[in-house]
Amino acid sequence: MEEHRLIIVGLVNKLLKWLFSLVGIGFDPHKDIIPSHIVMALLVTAIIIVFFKLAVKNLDLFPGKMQNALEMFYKFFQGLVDDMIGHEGRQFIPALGTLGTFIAVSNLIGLLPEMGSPTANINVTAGCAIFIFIYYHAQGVKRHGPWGYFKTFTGPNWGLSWLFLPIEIVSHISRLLSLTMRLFGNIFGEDMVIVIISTYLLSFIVPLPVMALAIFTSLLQAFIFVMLSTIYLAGAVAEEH
Amino acid sequence: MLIIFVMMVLSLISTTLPAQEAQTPAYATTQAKASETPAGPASTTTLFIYAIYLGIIGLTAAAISGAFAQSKALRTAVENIGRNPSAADSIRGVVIIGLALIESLVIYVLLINLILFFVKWTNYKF
Repeated sequence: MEEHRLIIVGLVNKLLKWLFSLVGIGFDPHKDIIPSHIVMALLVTAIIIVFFKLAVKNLDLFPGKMQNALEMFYKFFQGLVDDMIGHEGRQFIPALGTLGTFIAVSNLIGLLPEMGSPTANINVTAGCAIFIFIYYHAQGVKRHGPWGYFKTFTGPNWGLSWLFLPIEIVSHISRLLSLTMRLFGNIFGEDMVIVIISTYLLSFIVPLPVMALAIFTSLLQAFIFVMLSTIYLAGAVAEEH
Repeated sequence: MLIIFVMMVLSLISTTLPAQEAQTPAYATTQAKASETPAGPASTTTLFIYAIYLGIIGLTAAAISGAFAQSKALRTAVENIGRNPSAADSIRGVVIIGLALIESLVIYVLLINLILFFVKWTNYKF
């Protein structure tokens, strides 16, 4: 089945090709400069930035409706981090919250017409997973120092380090792969199901229950991603008693 | 039950095999054979069909095992919520993570099936 060319992607690419042609560089007219998943990811980022900038304009001690909703949103991430990491986890809320918001919005945006999910492409989900991977290792190194962090991989005593070290390395790499594949498989599979149902059955009514399920699984997958990242962070930053 | 299922699957597979060619004598010209595909004993179409069959069998097995495992986990969790309603919040968190981890194994099998479905079999020589 062929890809349906999204309007926004076509417009952005036309604009860029025109700008480049002013300078004198020509491009193949049938191919894209910026692929569709990157345009969609930038669109999601723009939506999130605009929305949150407008939302924190007038902060009050007695919150109005929008501020109440956003405080509930913040408390959700705060509860999550407090359960796993404890009180020092407050410093991780910006990174995890932003990543969770990005993944949730970008999963949901695929259900609108003329929009595609950026996370339906494996490169975007690999990017999120690589970010979390580097982030929790960096936090672990910052907490324990490089040699101390390496010692957490080797197990309880030095005699067994030959056994623990390969197992730990493999499990960390499998975490990276599993985060990527889980998110990609869920979102791409859901998209594929909706496309196939729309092609072979009625196009307007029949995909609706599947789309309702897709809303639920999109939010659930974003939550799972953030929850697993919190657990990995807790494992890296943990103080041994 | 399992024997009937295996027999059904094998009969379905055998209907898609290419028909057996008649044994040509050794001195027959090779002109007729030049029009066949340059591939080996199996053409890419039959490989595609076999790949889809194996993929579907694997996916069915994965879905059945995934459903069993998730139902066991959910059953114990709900029983223990009933026993101890004040622990409902912690149990709910653990259940959601556990179900998603089990489900991701089924998703891996789906991804392998997508690979089998979308790869261009004509790019490879067999």
